[in-house]
Amino acid sequence: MIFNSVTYLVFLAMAVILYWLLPLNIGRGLLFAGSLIFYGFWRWEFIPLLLIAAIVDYWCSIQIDKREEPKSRLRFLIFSLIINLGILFYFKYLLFFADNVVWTLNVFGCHISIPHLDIILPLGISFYTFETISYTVDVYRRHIKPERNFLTYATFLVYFPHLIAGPVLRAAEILPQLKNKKPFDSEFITTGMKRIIQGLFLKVVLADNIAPFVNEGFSMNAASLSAIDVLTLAFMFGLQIYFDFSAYSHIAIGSAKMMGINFPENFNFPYAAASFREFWKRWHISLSSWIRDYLYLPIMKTKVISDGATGIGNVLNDNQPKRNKNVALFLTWSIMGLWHGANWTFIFWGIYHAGFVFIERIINKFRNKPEERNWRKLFISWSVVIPIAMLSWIPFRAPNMGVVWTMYSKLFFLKEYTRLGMKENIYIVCALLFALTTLMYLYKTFISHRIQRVVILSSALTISAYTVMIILVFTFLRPISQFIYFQF
Amino acid sequence: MKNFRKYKIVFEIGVSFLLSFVIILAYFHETTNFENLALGVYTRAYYAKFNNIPIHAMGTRNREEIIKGSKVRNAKDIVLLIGNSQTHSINQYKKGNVTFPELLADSLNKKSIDIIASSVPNATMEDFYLIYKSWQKDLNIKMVVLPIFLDDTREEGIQQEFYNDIKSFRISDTNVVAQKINDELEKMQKTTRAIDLAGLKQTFQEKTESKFDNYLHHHFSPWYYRPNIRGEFFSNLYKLRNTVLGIDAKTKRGIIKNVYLENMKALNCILEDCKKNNIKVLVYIPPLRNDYEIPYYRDEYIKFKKQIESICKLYNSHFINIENCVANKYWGFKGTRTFKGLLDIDFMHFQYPGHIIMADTLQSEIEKIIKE
Repeated sequence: MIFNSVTYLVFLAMAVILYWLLPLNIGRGLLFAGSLIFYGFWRWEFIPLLLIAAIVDYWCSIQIDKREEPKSRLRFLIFSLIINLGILFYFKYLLFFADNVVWTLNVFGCHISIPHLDIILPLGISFYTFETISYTVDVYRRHIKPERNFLTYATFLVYFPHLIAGPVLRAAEILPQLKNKKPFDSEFITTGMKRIIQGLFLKVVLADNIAPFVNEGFSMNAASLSAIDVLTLAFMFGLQIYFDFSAYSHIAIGSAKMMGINFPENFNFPYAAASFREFWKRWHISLSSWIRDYLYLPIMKTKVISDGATGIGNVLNDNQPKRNKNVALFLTWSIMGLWHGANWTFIFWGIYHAGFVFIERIINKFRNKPEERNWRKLFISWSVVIPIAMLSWIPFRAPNMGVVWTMYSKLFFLKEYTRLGMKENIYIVCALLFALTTLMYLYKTFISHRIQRVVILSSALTISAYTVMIILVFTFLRPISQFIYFQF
Repeated sequence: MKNFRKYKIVFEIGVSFLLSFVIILAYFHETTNFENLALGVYTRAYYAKFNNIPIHAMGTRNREEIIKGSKVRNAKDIVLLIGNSQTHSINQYKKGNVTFPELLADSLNKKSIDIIASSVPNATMEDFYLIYKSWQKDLNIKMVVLPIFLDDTREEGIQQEFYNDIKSFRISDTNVVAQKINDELEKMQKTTRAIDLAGLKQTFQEKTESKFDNYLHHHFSPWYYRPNIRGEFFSNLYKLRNTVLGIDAKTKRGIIKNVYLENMKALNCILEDCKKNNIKVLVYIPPLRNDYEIPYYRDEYIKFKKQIESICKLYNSHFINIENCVANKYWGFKGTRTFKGLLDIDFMHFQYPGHIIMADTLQSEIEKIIKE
């Protein structure tokens, strides 16, 4: 089910009312059934796949917990990983893999063709696969005890607000909340509603209306774009994907909040980051912390001592020896890229980020006091990092690497900065939205807490903002497009 | 303190919903005619008729009636006039005023030359290509008359709303422009509601959403007026942009290279196809008032005219430049598209006397070319 629809709003209202009216056990059963219905509204055929993932990891985690012998525990972990990653590979990567094998064989003169495979990517598979893996790994690491009640575990996995596009949740964060229902508090409803309104505003008013500009820009012949066009398109898509994806997170967080369940934050003004490490502590926080804990640190052979969702780069046990640090960095980011999509453009996107994190590490080595930062330095860093981070969205959006190279090549020629190749409105909208996003960050960081102290002023501002948002959401609410992250 | 915070949030969200509801009920009830809104109050759209039978279509609207009328008249030669809003608009309109296609029809029908006109506001060359191909399919066209506006080469694609009655039509040519137009026509076959629900394509939710949408459409009138409010919202944003950046009719409009090239590609396709089908072509640089500094960069405008002329030569099409044919006194003003002032200079639409001059100018050219 798509969030930006009347169907979802009706479904959510019913789910929330029934959840609070019914006792815990029945309410949990209802959440499980409701979540399957939510998923089935897209395609019911893939519900069994979801249940297989739930059953396999429920069973494996209990088997792991029962056993003391490391080899035996490892065997069940590997079994779980093979099933989960095998399903993910089949649905998401088989075609990509086959295409590349055929291409490589053709290069060496062995001409083969593969039969046409019509594989539909099940919605949310990348998200729920990561969640099941982290659950089993956490049990294996003895960070958590396995959940013995299948319904509770399955409800955690398929819980509708996060099922399709995250946040990528950890069992330790959610299972206790599902097992112990909080007493009803009207604040859950109002706070949740506020987040949902914010999310719908970001999606239907901003992201959906930016999309035509971005589509038009990327459908143009890349060779005819100027350097300013490339930068503008990078910023424009960067804003679109930020509004779109953070909108999904807002609605997910708000929907869960209405049932008294707290999800971790997934975005924190990523375009205010003054370094790449900071960017990944602010962007898709739940995924970057997952990647850190279940991929980056294990590759470095560093023992993970916490499962806190605080973003990538926050190495918790700095005193341990770090092996293969740079190899781990590039490998992790390549996988991160591949997680987003089965295409070389995504892998390149991952390596691009790894490259700049690597450069930052080198620069920090030569700094006397890298941790010492004043506003002037921060501003300079921000001015350098943000355009580079925005340019990373080019491979994320471009159809192939040929287009990516053509667009990037424009940036290296001075004469390409002297003309404009698109309609004026796109530059105006881009500048305006980026300025507004930056101002919003400055307001939240420096002004809002002061305004909060003046109750009447703060209420007047809140009422005005939400009135405008509600009217605009009412005007623009239509499921004209899916959320961008659905395709991952 | 916690209770205070709780009640504050409840109060804020409650008042926000109440206020929005009141505003929605108060404002979501009017339908705006966006064609007149675009033209402004000083200019009126007029679609030519001959003997009370329409001969001028907005895009391809009324095409059946127009084709039927043409077949009844059974003239020896059919001339297709294609254009933008200049062809179907009269500045400072007075009762009895008509446009140059009607004046041409009145005089040329006596000489067994039938005039059919088709125009869309801000028409691109892709619009022209589609218009030409769609009429050519049903009429034995002898000659096509095309104005090329520099202003319109800043737009691209086809304006779908004007081709609702030819959704299933496809251009049979194999060039990339035809393919692009055909793709857009393909998209048009979906209804507006289907476009609104595009994110739910082939899902079960498509059915439920459609049901909810239908219900709200019929039982809650503000829901019905949402597309209109969206239009007004963007129109006001456009005005805000113009007001803030000081953009008005006199502001210079530069060529957008990529868009311009797409337009030139489409123009080439039209001329090539006409040549292949032995259809005569008259391309003209349309009238432009020059009592004010023109809203183009001079050097770009000169290059543009030269380029059009050379493209015409390439396909043996006739070319005339009539940019100065309508005297400055026959132009007028239009409603401003900003939040400041009332009037702005109209560089596109002239008054009725201007239409008479246009008809006279084109008539002699058409007769000459037909006789060749």
